Amino acid sequence: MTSGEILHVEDLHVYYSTPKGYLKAVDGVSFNLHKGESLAVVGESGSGKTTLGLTLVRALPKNAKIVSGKVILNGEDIITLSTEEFRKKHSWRTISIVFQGAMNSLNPVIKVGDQIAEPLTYRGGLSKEEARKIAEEFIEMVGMPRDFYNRYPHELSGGMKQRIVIAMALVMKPQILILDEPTSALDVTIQAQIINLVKDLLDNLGLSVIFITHDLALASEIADRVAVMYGGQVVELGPLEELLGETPKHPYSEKLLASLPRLRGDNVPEFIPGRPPDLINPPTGCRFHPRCPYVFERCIVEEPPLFRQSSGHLVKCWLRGG
Amino acid sequence: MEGVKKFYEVRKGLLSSQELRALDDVSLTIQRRETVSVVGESGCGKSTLGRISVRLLEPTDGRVFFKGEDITRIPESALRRLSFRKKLQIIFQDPYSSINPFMKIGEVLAEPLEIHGFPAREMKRRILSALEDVKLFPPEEFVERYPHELSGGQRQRVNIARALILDPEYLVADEPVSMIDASSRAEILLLLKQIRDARDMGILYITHDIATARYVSDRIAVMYLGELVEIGPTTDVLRRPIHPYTSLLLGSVPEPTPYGRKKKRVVIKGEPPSVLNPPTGCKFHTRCPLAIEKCKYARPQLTEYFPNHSAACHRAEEIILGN
Repeated sequence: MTSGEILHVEDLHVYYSTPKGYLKAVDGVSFNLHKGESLAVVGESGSGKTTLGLTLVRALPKNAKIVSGKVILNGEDIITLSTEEFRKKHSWRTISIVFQGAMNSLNPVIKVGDQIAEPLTYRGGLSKEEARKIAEEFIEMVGMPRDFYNRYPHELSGGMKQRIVIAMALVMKPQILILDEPTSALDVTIQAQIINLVKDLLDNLGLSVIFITHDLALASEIADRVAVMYGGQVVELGPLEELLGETPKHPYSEKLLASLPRLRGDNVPEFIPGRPPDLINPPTGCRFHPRCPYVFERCIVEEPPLFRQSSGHLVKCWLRGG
Repeated sequence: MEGVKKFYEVRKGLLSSQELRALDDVSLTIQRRETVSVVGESGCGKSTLGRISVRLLEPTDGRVFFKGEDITRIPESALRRLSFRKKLQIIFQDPYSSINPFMKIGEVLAEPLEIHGFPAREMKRRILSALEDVKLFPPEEFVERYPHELSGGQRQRVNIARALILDPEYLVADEPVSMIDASSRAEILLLLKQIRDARDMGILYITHDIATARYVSDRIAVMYLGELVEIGPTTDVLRRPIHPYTSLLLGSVPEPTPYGRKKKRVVIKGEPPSVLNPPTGCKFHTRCPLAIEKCKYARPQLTEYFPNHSAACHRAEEIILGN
């Protein structure tokens, strides 16, 4: 691990067992995360981005299996830990997650403040009064008045509930916060507020953030670096300015960017013909080859490696990598 | 649609009830070969408006005209007999729940034709041509497929095909791309444009995403808490928005930018107030950075400031002069 690196994922493979065979949801993913950094993981449905997030907090469903790879958190490979050991040692304290739709899974009959305070008493061993005080501080930190402690979920709007679940994820002061599509159920005006909140947290807490999203535009609002996923693999990984400053290097990232509708400029959004790959029987060679406009012979027969460019930018493509 | 209102009774306890003004005096005309986008946040009444326009809902007040004919109160049987049901179609947001998973695509498309009593031969011809219209090739193959074999984008195209199969003259598309992957969205948007031109149709495109509205619509209408706050030609509304809500809405849309991490957006403070207890005067005044005393008690009228470009704001003239 290099200095400042707090998470290092190496050649991770996570498969789901299905009646038709193994679904290779995450198939050879490697990346790292530094202290205070925000990494956006961008991908469309079925790209493996959510499975990746679930693996990092060891919350995979029963039919999923970590086949191989390493997830090194603060120097320790968490894949080798039992779920129970991981929960005791790392859940909430080192790494925590805001699941997609988490705001709808708040307990409707418990005050939101008590829901934030729960891990402090249950895991942190604090008294009720101490826990309440800390929970109130976090409610304030995510931009709401302290007395919202006493409210019930139904008394809050969607945006407020999202702020509460973010406070819940932060209350044990983790080093890494994973946000899985934290704004996809919210209106754009509220989405913009939440994005500003996450920026504040990044700037003020020295937190590292993994922001999982399908929306490249939204990712660009928040990321220092961007990992683009396609068919269970990272196809491009690089600093935001490089990925969006010029044309992205990987044809998939390029086409994904070209598909976004914009408010300004004359570019008409394009679409990528075809459909996402079948991950039970993935295409040979490069997984994007059946939809790639630049495909040539080698792409069909041989899987490209992640080529490292001089700037450290990684591209999994025969054409653009070398 | 003229002065359309939709109020719901919300029960509060046993005997008391309260009025929920989902739509409060909205007028909107859609021409042939025109797409009008209705843009707004959840709860602004845009879907209610769309449903009233195809008579899936009856308005509390106001009138709905189709080709000059008042269809506000005519009964369902007459709607069918006069073939208004064929001419007015709607497609919904969720391509996963709006198609029966146990029916083959051919059967899904045959259903509306059966209801309207088409002969078998004509049915087959129409089904194949509808699939071609939405670019599902080869159509003979898609007829035999089940919904689970299709991607979200393909399902949404089946929905469009189902809506088009009866040759409608007016189509409501309610958030048709919000559940579709980015890489397939543009294809659906392009399709909506082609349909409008090829079939001489009027389309009402309902969306929370003003960026997609830009590509399909001739005009954009912005709604807030049941009211129309601005309406005008697409480029005018985007380039020279009048209403402060429109400007702030435009400012909230994320755009791909290499420098996003380093700057913050100007956001609309707070959240939309409850429709059950809307603010007096201009409903946006509680969140508006330009609100003055008058906005708190007087409801601004929709006024035309440029050709076909209207807004409902007391400070519209100052805003226009300031631009």
